[in-house]
Amino acid sequence: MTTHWLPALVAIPIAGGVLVPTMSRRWAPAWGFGVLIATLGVALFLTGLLREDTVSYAVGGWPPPYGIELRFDVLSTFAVPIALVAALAVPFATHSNEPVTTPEGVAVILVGTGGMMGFVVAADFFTLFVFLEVLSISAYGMVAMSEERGAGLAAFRYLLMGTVASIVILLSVGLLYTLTGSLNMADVGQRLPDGGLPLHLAIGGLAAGFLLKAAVFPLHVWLPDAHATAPSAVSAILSGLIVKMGIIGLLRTPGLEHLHELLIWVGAASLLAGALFALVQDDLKRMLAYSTVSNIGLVVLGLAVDRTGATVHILNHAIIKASLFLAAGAFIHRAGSRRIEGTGRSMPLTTSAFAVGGIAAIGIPPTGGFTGKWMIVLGALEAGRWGFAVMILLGAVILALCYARFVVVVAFRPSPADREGTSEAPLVMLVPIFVLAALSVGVGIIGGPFAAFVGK
Amino acid sequence: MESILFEIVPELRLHLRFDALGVLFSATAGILWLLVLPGPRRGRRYEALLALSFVLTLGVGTAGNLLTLLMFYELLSLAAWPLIIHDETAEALAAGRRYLAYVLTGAAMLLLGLAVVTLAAGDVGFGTRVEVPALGIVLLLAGFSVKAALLPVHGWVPQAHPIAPAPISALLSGLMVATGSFGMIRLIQVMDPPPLAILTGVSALTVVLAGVVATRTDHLKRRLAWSTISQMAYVPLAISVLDREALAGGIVHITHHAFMKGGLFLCAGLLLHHLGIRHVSRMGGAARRMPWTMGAFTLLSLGLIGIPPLSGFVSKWVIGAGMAQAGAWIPLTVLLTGALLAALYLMPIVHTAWFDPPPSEGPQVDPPPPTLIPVLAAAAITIVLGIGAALPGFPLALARAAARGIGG
Repeated sequence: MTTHWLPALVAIPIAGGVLVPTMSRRWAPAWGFGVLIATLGVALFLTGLLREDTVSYAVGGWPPPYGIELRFDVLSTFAVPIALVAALAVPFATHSNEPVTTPEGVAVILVGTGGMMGFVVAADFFTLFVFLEVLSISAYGMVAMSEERGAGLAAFRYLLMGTVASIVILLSVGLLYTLTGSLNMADVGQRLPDGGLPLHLAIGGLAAGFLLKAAVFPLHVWLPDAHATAPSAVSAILSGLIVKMGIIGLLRTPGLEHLHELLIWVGAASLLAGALFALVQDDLKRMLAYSTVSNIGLVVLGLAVDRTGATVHILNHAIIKASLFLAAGAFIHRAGSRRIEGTGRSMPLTTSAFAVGGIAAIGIPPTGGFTGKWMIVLGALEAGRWGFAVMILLGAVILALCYARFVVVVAFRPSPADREGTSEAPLVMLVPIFVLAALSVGVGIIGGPFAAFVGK
Repeated sequence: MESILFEIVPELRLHLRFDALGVLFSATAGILWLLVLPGPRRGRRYEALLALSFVLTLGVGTAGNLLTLLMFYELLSLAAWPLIIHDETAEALAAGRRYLAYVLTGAAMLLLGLAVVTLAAGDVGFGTRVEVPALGIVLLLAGFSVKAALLPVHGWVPQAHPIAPAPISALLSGLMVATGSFGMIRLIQVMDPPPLAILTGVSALTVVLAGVVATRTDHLKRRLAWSTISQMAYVPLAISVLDREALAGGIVHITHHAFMKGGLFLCAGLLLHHLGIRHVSRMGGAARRMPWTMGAFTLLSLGLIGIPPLSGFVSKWVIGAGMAQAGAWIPLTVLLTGALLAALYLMPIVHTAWFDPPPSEGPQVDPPPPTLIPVLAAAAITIVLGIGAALPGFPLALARAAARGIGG
């Protein structure tokens, strides 16, 4: 099946982003929101088509494997959380005093969204690389926008490490091209040699690059600073969406089965290390950032034992982590600083949403965090890897203690004397938080059919 | 009655079921929650979570398969946590941390056990019997024993129960600990357990050791918490005998104990609130100041020890008869030792309160009727459930029906 809506999925946000600077400061957020909602509509439409068949589009009419091909398959359904989270982040940010909804900020978010859309629908490795750069450079910009102290340094460090990853990925793509004579993913998959050093180098290079982009321990060092210093609306995009691109890249990597043994160990290390680091953080956003490292570890482990479970988990975790970062942003907004002790006392709705998000992040049924985690645990047991199943559950226990700790901080600690009379977050923040929190439970309740759809 | 709901993970559905065991548990929860509702208002957070915990307890009672049971069970663990730390003191927060560490580790074991069982047998509904690897059952039993407060994983009880507000202590002791035992009963309903000698040993040890510790504890609520550990270990002890009558006794003991211990904790709360008494050694003459409260306390204590015709006697008699029938003499001895210990840690309280001179004379300060009624109601329920035990529709009849459904 083919349709012009597929390139539109990429073109709408990028064109929208390019046009923002022509607009007045007042209208930029509204424009950004409108463009992202339109993108969400297209993403939902394409996901609907997917029930019948994969959608493929030959750019410029050149048929694959010779021309550039865009493909909307099951992995591309990630376009829906991308558009949704980005769309909700924009109105959320209008009310905070962080400089996200300036025309420049909106432009970067729109172009970054377009980059992610291109990344998830790219069907050849070179296009994949190009969109990876588009989204990565937007991400560096999103971090640099922050007015927090140290944001510039965090963005620069992110840029340095991200660029190393990009170069390694580009080299590996080149190596794959010389090995197979093709760039089209399906084509490369068929022409892949059975073994040999060049193949292992190419696959290993792709995996290493994507693992760095996904912030897997010990390649995660750029993430906590970048995610914690960025404006909260941006942190939701970074932690919910952009690190997941590394995982989607891994899922697109051919011959990944050669690396299963590596992935399962790296994943387990990241899972536990992320959770343990999260346990000692005193800042909510840094804790959430390390919790992302832990969840990415779970997914990487899952790639080796149950790909469907891993895919389900990145989709669900995108929504869960975005809702948590937005809730954190609301606390910080009302507290006026990073010192959020006791803010939850006057913000019962935000606190409830945060608790729901925490329960989902830990993976208690029937939330969205449970589905993928359960499938990965079952996969590990089925593969006879007992120790890893135990590690996953141990990681969940540690994360639960992390979230409980911050529930205590916001709702059970006294608020400082100089900050009496805070009130519930404004509606424009509450609605995005609640939409995402409700979805984190909703996707869990339909977890069975959802996993069946993803596993098709 | 069953109803099958959402498929939340591939091939596993949420599943509700209403059977004798679930009805008895849910009804117990409903009445106990009514008893803890009166009293000072404690704010929105408290009221909301109290209501949520009730719904989740009903969920535990009406769960129709293992997944649903574990789901409600774990959500209940989390919903109870803010209630335990409601007073926001440093002690309460520390107790909360310890509680979470214990119950979450238990939850992790349960999930792992559920995964093992699911791989072997698929969706395990409570209307069927399945063959599963022993490892799965062991993991599940170990997970449930954290809430059931068996030694050596009882550590959260003596810390969390005394620190929580009195109504929450009543619920924790009355039902939270019982959810663990309830889970164990559901397990043997669907799967043939491996030889349960370890469970017998562990629960026997728990009955005796916790009872001994209770006799040596001066803090009133902590003594009651140790008593809960000791008394609730009767249920796994009864389960491990694998006799139908003993099992019925164990099931009915959950209900009977819930009202007796819930009532005792409410009394302890009233003593603290009106007389400022926390320790047994300070209770001299308390009964002269609060005759109604201490009257109920005395009656509930006698019930817990197992004096006929109170409800505590009925459950112990049925458990004991079952054990004798099955020729399980060691558990029977433990059962009687537990009752003796209960007398040793409860009767001194009663004696001090009635016969020792008060440190200072004062007017009678029995609380006003709205707060006194729940305590008296608990005492009345203890009498009614004891005298009317044989009536149809009473807990014992339901428990016997439930035990018949389980076999043994």
